Amino acid sequence: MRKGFIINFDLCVDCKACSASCLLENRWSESARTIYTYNTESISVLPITHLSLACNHCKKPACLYGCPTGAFAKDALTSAIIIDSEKCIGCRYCIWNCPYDAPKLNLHSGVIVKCDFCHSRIQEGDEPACTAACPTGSLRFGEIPEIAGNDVLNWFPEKDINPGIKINGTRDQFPLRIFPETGMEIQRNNPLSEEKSISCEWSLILFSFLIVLSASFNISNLLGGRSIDPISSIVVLVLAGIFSIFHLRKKVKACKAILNYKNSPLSREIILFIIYSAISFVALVTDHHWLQLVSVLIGLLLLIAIDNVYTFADGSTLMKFHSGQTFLTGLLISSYLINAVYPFIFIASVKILFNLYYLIKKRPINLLFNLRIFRMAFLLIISLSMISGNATNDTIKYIIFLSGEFADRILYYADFEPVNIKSEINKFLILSYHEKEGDK
Amino acid sequence: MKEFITACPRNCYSTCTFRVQIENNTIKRILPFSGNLATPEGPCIKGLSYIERSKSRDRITSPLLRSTNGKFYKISMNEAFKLVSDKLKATKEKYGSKSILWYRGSGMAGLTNEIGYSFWKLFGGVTLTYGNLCWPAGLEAIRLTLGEIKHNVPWDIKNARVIIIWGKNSAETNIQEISFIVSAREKGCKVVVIDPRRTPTADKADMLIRPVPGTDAALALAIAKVLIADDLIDKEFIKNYVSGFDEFKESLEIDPEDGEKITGVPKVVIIELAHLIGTGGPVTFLPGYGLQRYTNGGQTIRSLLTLCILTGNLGKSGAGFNYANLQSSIYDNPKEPLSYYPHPVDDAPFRRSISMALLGVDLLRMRDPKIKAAWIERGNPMLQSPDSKSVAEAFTKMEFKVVVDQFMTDTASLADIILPAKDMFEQSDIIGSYWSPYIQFKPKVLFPEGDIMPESEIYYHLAKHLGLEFDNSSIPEPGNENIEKWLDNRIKGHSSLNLEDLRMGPVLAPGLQQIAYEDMKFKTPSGKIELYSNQAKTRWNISPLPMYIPIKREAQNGIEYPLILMTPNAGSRIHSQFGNLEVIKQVIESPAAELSYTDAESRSIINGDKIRIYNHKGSIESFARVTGRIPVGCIVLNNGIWLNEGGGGNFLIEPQETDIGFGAVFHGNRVEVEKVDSE
Repeated sequence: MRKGFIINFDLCVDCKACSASCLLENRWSESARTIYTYNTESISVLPITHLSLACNHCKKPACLYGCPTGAFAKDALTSAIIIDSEKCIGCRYCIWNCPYDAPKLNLHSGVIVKCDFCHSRIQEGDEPACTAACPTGSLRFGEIPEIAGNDVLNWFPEKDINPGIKINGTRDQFPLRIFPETGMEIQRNNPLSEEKSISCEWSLILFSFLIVLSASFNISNLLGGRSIDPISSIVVLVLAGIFSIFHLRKKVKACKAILNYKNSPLSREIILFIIYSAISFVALVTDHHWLQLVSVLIGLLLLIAIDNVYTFADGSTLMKFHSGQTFLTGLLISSYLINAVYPFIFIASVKILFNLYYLIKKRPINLLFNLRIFRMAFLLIISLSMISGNATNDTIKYIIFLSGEFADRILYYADFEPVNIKSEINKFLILSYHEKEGDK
Repeated sequence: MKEFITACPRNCYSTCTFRVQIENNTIKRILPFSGNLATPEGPCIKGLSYIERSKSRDRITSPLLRSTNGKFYKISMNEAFKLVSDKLKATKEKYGSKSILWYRGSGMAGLTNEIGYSFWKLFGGVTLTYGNLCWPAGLEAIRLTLGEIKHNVPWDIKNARVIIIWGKNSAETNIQEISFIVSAREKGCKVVVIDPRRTPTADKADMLIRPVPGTDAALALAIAKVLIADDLIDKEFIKNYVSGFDEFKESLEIDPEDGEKITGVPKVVIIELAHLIGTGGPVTFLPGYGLQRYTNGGQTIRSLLTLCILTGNLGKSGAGFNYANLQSSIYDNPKEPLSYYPHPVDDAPFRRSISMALLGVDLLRMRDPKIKAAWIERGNPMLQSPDSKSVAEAFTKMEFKVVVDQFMTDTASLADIILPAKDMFEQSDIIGSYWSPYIQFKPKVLFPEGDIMPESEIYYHLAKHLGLEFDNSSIPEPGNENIEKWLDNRIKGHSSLNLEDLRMGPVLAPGLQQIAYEDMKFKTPSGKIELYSNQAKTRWNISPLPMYIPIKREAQNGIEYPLILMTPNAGSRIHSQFGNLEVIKQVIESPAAELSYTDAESRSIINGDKIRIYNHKGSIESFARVTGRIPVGCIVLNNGIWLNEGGGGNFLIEPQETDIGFGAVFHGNRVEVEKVDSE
């Protein structure tokens, strides 16, 4: 048996005593405990359910595996997942990886804080501040089964990480009967929107796109394609480096990001990026053929590593069929630069297919829909001109082509959706709402 | 680190007991105390926030004097005593002592509050308020019907088979009750919430019935008619214990069809509800206070009571009408609601002439003598009284105002002198409860910061400055040991309890009936439950029978404002307290006006919009929260919103008294709302 939080959401009324108690105990600027509500809109035909979550101290903690600096550790005594804020560089990769939003970025310190089970209280034989404070007895601390989790709430994400939480309750299975009935009328005025919990991160979009460019330039150089000025290649690399650092909240400690190479895809990406930059730089300066070959190979590995960072966090297979992946885009740009028409047409077709797949699969948001149409149109234009003749040396086409690929990268970030309780709640709410609407 | 047992003295049902751990004169932790069966899991977020509140940076820790430029600056306690006593003396000499208003709010309960009464009596009497802002219409309704105000112990709710929560939002105002409701429901109890709003409490129920605000009596009487027509009543109970049944039966006019027209609740639901109450018992009714804060409040509670009486749901486990339980008020004489009457006892030399409900207008119209000065403690009347504008005007016109408070409230900011008030941890005291049956001692556990002084000591020093003659029994000497001696004396003779018994933790009130009225004795004139009450007619000039009186809807200057304003209490505040604390601000959404999707859409308002709510009384600004929780035609502003947060609903409320009991009418005022264009 292990210890964890036990919740009976039938007793929870969203009073926020747990949240406040956490704040008062730990003197943080933000509570490590949040109450998530299903149906905040108060749609009359659906139940309203609250779930108080801090950290579930999972058996297979995604935060711990993903952290590039190895800042998380499992406490031997309590099995709590504890963060060493000294090691944290504020990259927020754990926020992507944790489906429960347990790691919270402290805006003052720039590093992550999270629930540690009130470690010092437990050592004294006490229970955590939040469970001690719950005035209805909805939230408790106690022994939970080895495989705990939840079999009552449809919207609680588990992501195969074995969260240390036991959720009980029945309330959400019995919708409240309300008289006089208001029906579905309220919702016609305020249609539900699919909100995204992660906004576009410009520094990461630029970083990854510049790496794609740099790797493609190297391939082009090696195979004698469109000639690229070594200076501009170096500028591209340096800019990529600057943008990657720009993303971190604790820039001085950036070097720690390679420590968790055993588990963290992010750590591996950073290591490959460092090796790649060094070899590319020497290869560009010395124009050494073998070094060029090595830099091309490492470049391709780096692109795969970048894609891995996102598929690890997103968890859905859909992401593996996204046309904006760096590896795919790298191959496309390279074949463009070396004017390899058939490979280009093949990869371009794959990308267009992937885009069509996304158009069908994803509920379109207006702006993204337009962007996707543009980027497909651009690719078609370029494909046609590749077939009809040499498009590689036409600067206008070159620019059109690259802007299409850059748009694809933006789409990649827009579609990137790490499993997250807020988006799960929203997805399930929309589903249930449409089901009820169908009933009527 | 030391640990003490204490209890929360706020104006709240729960009156939680909790353990408090002290280190270096600071509260380190607040923990539950399981020995109080009503609050075994500990206090709510407000109780937890004492960790911050007791040492808040915003606490007033020294006397503040208003300078001519309107700003406050610190003075010494001695200067303050001198200044205040000189002013009081001068006012008394010039206008008479009754030109001074002594205003007491419900900010902190405790027997030591009586010391102020002793002081003002020695002073020669002042003007007092009568009535109460909170609940007297309902109290009086129960007194007229049952004779005494009491109900079963809160944990008996677990034994109910049907729970009718009528206008009470336990989830926010009495959170521990939720545990009992949920555990009853787990055992198969049916839970019905009757409330215009879909409250967090409603989300724990099987059924939510949303009548038009102010029509609860019509709904209750329609149910009563079905109960009688369908023979769902307890005839044996009625025969033995009830007087006026035949008159009541004859008087019933509202059938389910009329009920639907008036309340908006479908006829079939009214009938379903009657059958549930009539056959599903035992039934516990949990009425709130909101539904009696209408002009027809007393008659509403009398109408609700009939359902409990007709079905014999009184005097047994799992049943009852849990409006208020005054069994722990053993030290009060007279008890509520009699103590709210203008002349409960001969209390010369006082003049009890200002209605709490009509505070502003009464202050402005008072003559012989006019009100020239005020002493305000434990309250924030500028924000919390209906028609805030008139209250502010009356205060501004006075020559001298003393406010005793812990924080710079909107009332304190109108003062000439602010005296720093103690917090609950800074002096020992004894409190009862109006929900749980415990009497509790709360010890002094912290030494106050700066010049903070308990009110009893402030009065002691002032009395000395004024040269009044008194002994320890009226105003004890400074020092907590003297207060404890005073308390011990004060409770002697009321029961066998002494201070030492109370020190161990909460004590069940002596003479407590765990199941109220189990002896079937009713202290009414007839000795029976009075459905027909002569007193209702003679004392209040209302019908001797429960009746539905529609709330008036008047056009103001030819304009009919469309939305009904409700100002219920929120879980994060007790009236205007607690909302100023950092921890509350951080975890609770900031105040907003809630309205329905339909009303928002027809006014082009979306969530988060800045809005203006207005009527003939005034206007306030807030932000819109558009939600399905609010019915069409209503707008909800939670009670206690400070001016720096936009101000509360009291700026829009017409000052009125309830039909009986000298209560205040807060709900049912009409307003309009519009979007404020942000340039």
